[in-house]
Amino acid sequence: MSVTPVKPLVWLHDESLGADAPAVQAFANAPRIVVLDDAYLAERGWGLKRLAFIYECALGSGAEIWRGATTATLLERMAACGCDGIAFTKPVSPGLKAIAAGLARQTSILAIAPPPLAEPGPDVDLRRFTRYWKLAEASALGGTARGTGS
Amino acid sequence: MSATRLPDDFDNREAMAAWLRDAFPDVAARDGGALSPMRGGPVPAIVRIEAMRPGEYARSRNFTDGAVTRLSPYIRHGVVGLAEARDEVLARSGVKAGYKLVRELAWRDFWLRVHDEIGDGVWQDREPYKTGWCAEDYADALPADIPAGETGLACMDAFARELAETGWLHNHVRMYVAAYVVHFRRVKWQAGARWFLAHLVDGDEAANNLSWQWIASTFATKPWIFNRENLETHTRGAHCGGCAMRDACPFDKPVEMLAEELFGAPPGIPKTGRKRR
Repeated sequence: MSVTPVKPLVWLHDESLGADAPAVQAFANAPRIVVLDDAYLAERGWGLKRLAFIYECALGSGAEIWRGATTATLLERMAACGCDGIAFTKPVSPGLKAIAAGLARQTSILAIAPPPLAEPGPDVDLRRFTRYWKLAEASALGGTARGTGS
Repeated sequence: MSATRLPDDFDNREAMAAWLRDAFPDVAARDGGALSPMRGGPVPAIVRIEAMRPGEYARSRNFTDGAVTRLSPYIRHGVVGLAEARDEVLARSGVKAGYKLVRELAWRDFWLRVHDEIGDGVWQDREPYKTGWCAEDYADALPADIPAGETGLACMDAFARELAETGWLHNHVRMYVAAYVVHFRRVKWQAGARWFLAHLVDGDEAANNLSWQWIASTFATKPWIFNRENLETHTRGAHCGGCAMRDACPFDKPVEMLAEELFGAPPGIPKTGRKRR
């Protein structure tokens, strides 16, 4: 579904558990949720050390914490809260990307990219860090050129 | 099973942990139900940010008692953004003193960009090993003595215990362990990466897997190895003196000799002691 939500439920997933996550900043008054999904936890092999850390992050995020299958829980809470879609930080991991793709087939979503550390440009070469850094350094350092002798 | 709302009010951390152990017994069973001393949430993250000493970090980061930030779990889980962390570094120290730390943050940005591009390909060798061995020469499974902390090597056993008990290791220690697993024990990096991911509170497939590949040489031009002198220096001799293997230490040789033993005649000299992070 391609319509951008205007009254979304904010989903804080495990790459973005901050109280000032990009989706929270965009929709400060929206209800927010963290979902603990047993199947997801099992697939990653996470133990109590990780779960407790995530739980503490969730407690500090201002989100409601729910347990259930991620997609079903998000859709259920979206409807219960009277929201018209789901907003979240654009994920990197394939597992979260798959969930986001599944959500997009069933409701309106808005994936918000976090502020970039660097802007190396479209021609960035990711085969080696040194090649990336050559193009990323100036923007990563806030536009301050280093090592130019100037 | 319909979704259920979970509690958000506990008297203290141990009460939360006890509830989690009861509500998620399968999760607790995976790592013995231990808690990391690293607490999640915004307040501990702010404490870590306030404690940052970027200039000292640049000078001491390769030592296990160095001024590392321990911000990685908070960055991994988005409690602190990468750009936000960079801004905090530069605001505190300026570009000159903060350069090394910003460059380390950029390593994470690099890993994420690669992961975003290749997805589950982070579990595949990015390139062939440059060790003189091919992937089939490496064992698939992690030998049980390594995660159990029963190798007999005081350093590696202490590192394994620290990983299991705290969920965090200094980056240089991660490099020692990875090099030991892949090069000294000749085990596929994937086995070690899975072990780390099960315990690290900051672990993700991007930084973890690609760092293991960097050590293994499947995402680098050369393998990375270390010797006893390097380890003993950067751990301030914390392990070697009391090690039962101190007179038969497998790392107690010049790097060139170790490279010859491990790799035969590899193309080029292995990386060692390079101050990557």
